[in-house]
Amino acid sequence: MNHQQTRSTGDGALLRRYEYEDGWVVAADLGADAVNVSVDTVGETAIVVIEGDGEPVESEFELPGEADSVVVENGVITVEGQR
Amino acid sequence: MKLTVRPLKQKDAGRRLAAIDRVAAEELGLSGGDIVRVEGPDGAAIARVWPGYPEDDGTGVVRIDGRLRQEADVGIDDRVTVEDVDVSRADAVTIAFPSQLRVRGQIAPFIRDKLSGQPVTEGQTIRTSLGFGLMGGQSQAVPMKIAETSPGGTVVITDETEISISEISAEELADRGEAAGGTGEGPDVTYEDIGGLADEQAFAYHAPCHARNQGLSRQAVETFRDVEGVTMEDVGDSCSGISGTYGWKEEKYEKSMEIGEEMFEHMEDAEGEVGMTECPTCAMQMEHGTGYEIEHPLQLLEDTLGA
Repeated sequence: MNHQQTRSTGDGALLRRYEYEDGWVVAADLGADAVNVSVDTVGETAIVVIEGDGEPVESEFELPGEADSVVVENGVITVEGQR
Repeated sequence: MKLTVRPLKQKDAGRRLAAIDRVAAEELGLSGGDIVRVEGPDGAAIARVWPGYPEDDGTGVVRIDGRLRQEADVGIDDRVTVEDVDVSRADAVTIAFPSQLRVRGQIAPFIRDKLSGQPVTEGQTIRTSLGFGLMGGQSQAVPMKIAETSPGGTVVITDETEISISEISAEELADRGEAAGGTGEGPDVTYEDIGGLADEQAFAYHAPCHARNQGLSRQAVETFRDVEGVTMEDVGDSCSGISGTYGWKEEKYEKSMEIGEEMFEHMEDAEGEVGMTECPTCAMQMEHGTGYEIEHPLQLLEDTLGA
């Protein structure tokens, strides 16, 4: 994810991928002030759209597989899937 | 529910995240981004839930960074309670600065911008970098005390929150006992502000026999386990062969090098190309046998602390 494209708290976005025995989680933190964030997944890609004052900003990141669930809460995006 | 405090990886620090073991998070009904209160016996910190690290599965661990540990007044391996909190949007927040920090001009909008999205509670000390200009070019975190919030309880600062600066310093507030929790002390520096190695480095570590025989063979590995940029690999229980001054004697030299050979091989198999041990004579033999530079864990500790 391009750090410049996110309206985060100034430290850029954090993107992490965790592999567990039974599944995976890809989590991103856009900063707690990120509002109007929506995430869609298409196959193995997650597309993040942040609607701000100006043009909506869009970015995407790769997933290790197809997602089972996507949750956005207080700037944290959590995408989960099975192995 | 009581969880055990562990450090957050340094690269994840500074975002008020609490990485909660997946099993515990499920029991608590928490998922990513939820706002929780991490409470120790003498303080509390507000954090956002982050997925548990895979190695923490089922261990009852909550990982928080140094800043949040300071706010909750807890250390590594302390037990804390973690619970979901309701958070309302702040209408107004008053902030007190430490007395040594002179603030001039219209700083409120700048602070609101910096703190936007952050959950705060009255009496809490928060630290944020104010960036250039204010601190003479330094970007060290400045401790500020939340003097008052409207409404009360835990509130989240938004773009619409009215921020005002208290005329009373943070220390005075603390002295007056108006602040429940938080310390009101001068700027404290947490590990994440300074810790870690800028360039990643791997080490081939030899636990000396005198440490091993006292059951103390893991400190170097454990000390640096969570330090950003450091990979510490224990090369196992082979012997350097020097045994005090044994290997220095002319007639014992060959035997000594023969004993050490296995360890030199283990060191070469390890990823790191810098050796590490606490034992000064082992270090000589390790250097002699591998040609590596050998460091003492304290040297590395000094480097990672930027001392």
